[in-house]
Amino acid sequence: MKDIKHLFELSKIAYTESELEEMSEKMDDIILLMDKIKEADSLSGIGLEKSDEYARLRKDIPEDNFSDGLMLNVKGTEKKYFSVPKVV
Amino acid sequence: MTISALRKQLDEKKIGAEELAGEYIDRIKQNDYKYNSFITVCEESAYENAKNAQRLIDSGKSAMLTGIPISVKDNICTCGIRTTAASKMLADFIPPYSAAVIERLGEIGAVITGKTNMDEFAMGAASQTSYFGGVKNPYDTSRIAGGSSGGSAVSVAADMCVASLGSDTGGSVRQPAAFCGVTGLMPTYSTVSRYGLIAFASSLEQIGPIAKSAEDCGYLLSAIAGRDERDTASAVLSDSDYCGKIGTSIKGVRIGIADEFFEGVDGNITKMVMSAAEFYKSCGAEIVSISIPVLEYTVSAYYLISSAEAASNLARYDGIRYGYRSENGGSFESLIKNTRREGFGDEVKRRILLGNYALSEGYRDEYYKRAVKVRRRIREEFSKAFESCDYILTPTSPSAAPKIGVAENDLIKMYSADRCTAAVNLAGLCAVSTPCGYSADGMPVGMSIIGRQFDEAGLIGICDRFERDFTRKEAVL
Repeated sequence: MKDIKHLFELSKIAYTESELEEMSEKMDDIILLMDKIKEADSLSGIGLEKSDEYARLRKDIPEDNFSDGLMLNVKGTEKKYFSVPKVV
Repeated sequence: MTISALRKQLDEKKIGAEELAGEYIDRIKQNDYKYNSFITVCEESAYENAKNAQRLIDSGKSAMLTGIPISVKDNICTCGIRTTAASKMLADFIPPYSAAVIERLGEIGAVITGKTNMDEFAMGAASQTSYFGGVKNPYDTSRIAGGSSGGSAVSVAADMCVASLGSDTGGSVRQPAAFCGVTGLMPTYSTVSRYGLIAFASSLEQIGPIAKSAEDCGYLLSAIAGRDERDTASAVLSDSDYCGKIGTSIKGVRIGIADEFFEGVDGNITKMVMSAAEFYKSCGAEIVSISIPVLEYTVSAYYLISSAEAASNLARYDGIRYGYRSENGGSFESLIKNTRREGFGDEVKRRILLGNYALSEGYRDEYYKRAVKVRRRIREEFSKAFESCDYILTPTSPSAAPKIGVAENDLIKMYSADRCTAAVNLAGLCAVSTPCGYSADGMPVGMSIIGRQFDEAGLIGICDRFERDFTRKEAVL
């Protein structure tokens, strides 16, 4: 359940407790199906070797995309929104 | 009616392009309430297209598809015409540009009659996850049409258009074609520009034709294939006459049969596919036994890779730039989260979650990286198989179309059914599905022929050979 909550946060999708519960059950089944891929190690050349291919990726921590500091440099803001000239 | 028969009638002025467009628009209006295969009927623009087509015909400049009524899956952008991807997220989206394939069809005067229903964002194999309601099979409306291009397949099978464009990421053209008794072709990756195709899994998807014959699929593919600068993956093709090998002898052609494709397949379907192999043998082809052991990992590799790509491609739907926006705004973050919660359906959310799971810290080596390696192995094993055969014959789906509510309620079974088709996308090959029989309760059964990269012309030729001797049963409308 904690994992699913974290995934919702990473995916930037809001959820209710009941949605979380329902999704959790289905995701357990899906991940079980995906686990089949681990058996592929028995095929030569598929097994995992050490690699730094992903070493430069950031930590998976959901971040707020918006900072108040950003707004200090912007003219014409309203609450947390930018005001822009009417175009159409 | 076939494209070539209609072409003759249009060129000989036995029927006008506007009259033909009107006939097909009427058929949609009269019949589609039974199938729900269209999301938008393009009546006004279809007549404009038809007027343009008639001008081309009158000036002797008609091409094969000039004036031919064609439907288009609703994830292919049409300038000024709503394009929804069957999602609440894009329910009111009117694109300011057309996809490359639409531009090409427009240049030669094809008539776009409507935008077809599908699984939301092309994620599904039943066409039941659409925000606009599920699609029903014209052979039995209590059954699914297959997916994700279910609306396209139904629009052809129920004679509401002559041909249709779908998109195929893991079988989404071939499987609904099989379920609805029509022909569906998935071209080699990079044959058709993806510019204007609403992205799901960019390394796998291709736009492909659905029609009543391989020959008609060839005409449609000839019109849309080729290099487009706006899709950098699109290939420069030396020849775009995809009907060029129709009628050539298949004597000596080697057709491979791999046991792995038949695991878990209904016994009667296996018999029908094997009897098609016997037919080819009687025409002089050689049947050879091949093996592709890595196939058992196809489903997990396909879902991991496609979902990882979907998680990234669908990150753009934030309620800020375009598409649905939640009324429950609050902060910037909660606006995005609520928009995505309300705008996406359950299956799309599952795929995004799975994609982020496969790519997340601690799991990416276990899942995504392994899946990429399996994909490479699938390519290698197909490559090796094609050393001993020219084409591979397989079932398109392990069963005929199930009842509505059965398939989509058993996710694992539905995902597993992609086994027969998804390997072709992972390997970057081309394949065609055509009917090869009917189940005891009258539902169509499809077989697939897989070809080497860019051998669509050969594929159409060999598929056409079978179709000429096979008697199709039309859906009773």
